[in-house]
Amino acid sequence: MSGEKQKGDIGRQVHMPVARAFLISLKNIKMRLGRSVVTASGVFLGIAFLVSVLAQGLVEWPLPPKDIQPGYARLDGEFEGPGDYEIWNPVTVTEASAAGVPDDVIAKISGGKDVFSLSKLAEAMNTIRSTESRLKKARIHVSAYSRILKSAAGKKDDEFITARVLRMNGLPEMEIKRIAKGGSVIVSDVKTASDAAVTSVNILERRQREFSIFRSVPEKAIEKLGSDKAKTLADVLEMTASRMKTKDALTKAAHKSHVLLTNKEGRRIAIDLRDMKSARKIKMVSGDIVLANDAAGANRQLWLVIMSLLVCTIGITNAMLMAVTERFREIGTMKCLGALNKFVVEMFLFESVLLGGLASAAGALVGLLGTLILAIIGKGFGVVTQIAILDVLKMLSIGIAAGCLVTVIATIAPAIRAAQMPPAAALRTDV
Amino acid sequence: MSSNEYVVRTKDLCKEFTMGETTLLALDNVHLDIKCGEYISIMGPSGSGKSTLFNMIGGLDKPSTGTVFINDVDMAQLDAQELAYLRCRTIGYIFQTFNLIPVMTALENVKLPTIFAGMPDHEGNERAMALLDLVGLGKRYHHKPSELSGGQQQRVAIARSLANNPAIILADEPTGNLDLKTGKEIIDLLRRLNKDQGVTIISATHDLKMLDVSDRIIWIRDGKIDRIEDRSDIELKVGHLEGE
Repeated sequence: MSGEKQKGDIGRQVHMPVARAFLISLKNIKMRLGRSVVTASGVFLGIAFLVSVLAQGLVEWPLPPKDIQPGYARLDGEFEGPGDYEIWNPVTVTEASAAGVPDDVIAKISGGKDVFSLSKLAEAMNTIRSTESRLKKARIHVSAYSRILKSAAGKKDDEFITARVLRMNGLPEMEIKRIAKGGSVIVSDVKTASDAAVTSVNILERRQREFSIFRSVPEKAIEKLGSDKAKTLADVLEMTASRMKTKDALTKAAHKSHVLLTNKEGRRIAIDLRDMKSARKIKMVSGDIVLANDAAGANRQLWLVIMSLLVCTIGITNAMLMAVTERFREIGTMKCLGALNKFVVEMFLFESVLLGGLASAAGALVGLLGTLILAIIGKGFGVVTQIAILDVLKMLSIGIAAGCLVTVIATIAPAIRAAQMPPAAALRTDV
Repeated sequence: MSSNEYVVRTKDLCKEFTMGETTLLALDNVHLDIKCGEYISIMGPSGSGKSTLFNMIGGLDKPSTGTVFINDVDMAQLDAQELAYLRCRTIGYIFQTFNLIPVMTALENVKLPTIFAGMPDHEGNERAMALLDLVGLGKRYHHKPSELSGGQQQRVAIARSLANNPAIILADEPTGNLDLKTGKEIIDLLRRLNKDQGVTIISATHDLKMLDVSDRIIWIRDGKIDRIEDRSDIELKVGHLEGE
């Protein structure tokens, strides 16, 4: 082959700077906005569906109870409906003494017996604490009322007292609201309220004297005894079984339940009761709520998650595959005009990341909000307050990551195939 | 490049297509030498292998056996980047179906090859505007292909093929989708570019109007070169079918 030149005098096509390729992708999305929106809505719906199903897990947690006594946990759901169960085993006098509970307190609470209930002690400590804070408030009211009555001396019973006077004499806003009941206050109202305040101070003082010895119990002693004497979740579940009519109810219940345990401190445990071993390891904490759900429900939930994943994957793949296939000719043309495979792939990569990211972010938000709104309508606003923000972020990022991943793979795979075809073949394709 | 006598040569060029169990020989031992600055028409009935030859010369498909030389360089030896360079700067393509990017304006379509060539944005714009003026569409630069007639779209495609000053323009049935009058205009435009700018034009066609302007006509039948005629040889007179 003499005289034939070597390929040295053909240059090499330069790679397009990534920034320029990115700008072209942006422009592409803008130019085919109508089509982009249609494609994106496929991704949007898929992810909205997936996140709606996933978010069910956020709102199925029970609300931590507010009105629960110390040393108790509440059980709800499959077992027996709501009921409070004591979660501390009885304490012996020696144990309590060792933990630092004063002897006079032990003597009073145990009534001379060897063992006593720790929750009774905790309740008594609660009583003295709340009594003292209420007493403080009641005393403020009494002194305020006496000042008000002094300033109103000489007034008739049905004469008005302005809110300004009440406030100036140091009556708390809450109390003003309570006695005014939305209307105006007359002298006789103040007299009645003053008498009531004096009575409640007397009652509270009597109770304070009665419970005063419990003030001396160190907080730490209760904490220590509470954790030493805590029953396990399995113990509590057994108590509920003994309350039931059949002996093997627990076994039956256990085999079809999955349990959600939560409390105000934000502890969250989900366990499957087919595995009682783990239930034996979980120590109960005062104020826990345990919700036992039907295991069939949990399976249904899992099935829904799997189905929604499939639906969203196939829906997105379908939308993106169509969007790329209808541009095969365009890819062929661009290659005729000097585009490198790398550029073609880059262009579709950027487009799919932008489109997939935006659409799945929107879808994840809508799916989450929809689920939350439905839960609020069903169970009240409390459902939202107990949701951990970290769980929400985790869910949103799972949704967005899944959407991006599926979109990118569904776009890039056919784009690579089209880029690697001889341009003549890409130009021949008809959709 | 103009110092090379032959801008395109093919040697023993064969292309087979396999469809199921049958093998179709679309090109059968094609030898072809095309000089720089020639206006060549490849004529033949449908299915004769015109488009296949077009794809081989343009580097849009790979031959089964044989070689294509562009400016004496064996195309089979080129890697993807060199092939892209060749498609970008040495060859301009015109298609029967125009193949403009539908979402881009005329200006953006013409500018596209300059972007792939790495030309800065403003230079690309100037170049594209100048080319649109050349093909008489300077005022329609902001129109999308769907807003242009067939003839106008083909003129945009011609402007695009010229974007990086190619040595060769390959046209695959450029008048196939146009009426007689518009087809004539496109042929005249190609001829003008060939004369004024010295671009080699290779056009696959079965439009007899092309004969009038071609330097040589290559007749293809069943994948083989049937005969090659110089224009001076042809007695055939093409009447003025203006199609009005």
